Amino acid sequence: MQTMKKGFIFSFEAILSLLLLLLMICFLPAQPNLSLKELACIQQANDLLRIWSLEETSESEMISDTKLVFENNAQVMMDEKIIYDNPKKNNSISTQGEILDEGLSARMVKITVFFD
Amino acid sequence: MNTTGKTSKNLFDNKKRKQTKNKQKGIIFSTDAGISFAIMLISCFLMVITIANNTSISQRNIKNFELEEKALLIADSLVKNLDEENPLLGACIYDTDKKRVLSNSLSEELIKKAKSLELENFFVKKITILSQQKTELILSSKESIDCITAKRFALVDKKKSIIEVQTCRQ
Repeated sequence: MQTMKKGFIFSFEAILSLLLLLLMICFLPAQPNLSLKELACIQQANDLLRIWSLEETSESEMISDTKLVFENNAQVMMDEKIIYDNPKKNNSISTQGEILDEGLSARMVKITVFFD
Repeated sequence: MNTTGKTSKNLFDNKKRKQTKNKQKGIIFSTDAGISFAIMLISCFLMVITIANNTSISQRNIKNFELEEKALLIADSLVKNLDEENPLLGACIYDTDKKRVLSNSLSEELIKKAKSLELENFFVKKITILSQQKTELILSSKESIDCITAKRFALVDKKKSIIEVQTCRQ
């Protein structure tokens, strides 16, 4: 009888430890999803800045270009003033550059792109 | 002789007793081991399933990552360089005064001369120019399920356009 009790105590501990192991295996962290989404967004935002610097671009044109490229998932700031804002997603990435206007004065433009 | 007979009887009894004891122990041990073994087997089975699942997800992610990387590289090359042999890798306008290519300023005529690009595990399927009208340039007629499109904003013949380069897995 004594032997039986001892045996049962051992198996109970074994069950507990194995269950713990099982739980640990089940909750192993999944590999993060590899993506170049950020790079793609920053490249597109830089494209916008480059083209706006090549041509004289009004604020309304900037807004329409941003909508065309990012489909309402971006924010545009010009000299600290938000000219277009439509944040929807949690993640964001920004790029900024200086654009010379008609009077050759530098204007700081910042584009923030929101993505999943 | 009698003593010897008794001793051998005692030995026989002892052996029998031991055998019975061992038998009991054996039953207890096997139940214990059986339960543990069953749980261990289930754990191992679940572990193998989890690892196999994680591996297949990782493999898929890496393949998609590679394809995305290729698509982005080709699209970047298209809007940043000039390659007259295969304008798919560069269709920018060359500024003779500045003696350099104008990045993000493309020539539609050059883009239309783009040849297909096929490497070991991927190929470029089509280039699409979206401005006031949609121009689609199909470079390969091959069918593929896994395709990734890289999008860039550029001036095509001084018109603001979106260039899409679709890259697919072989």
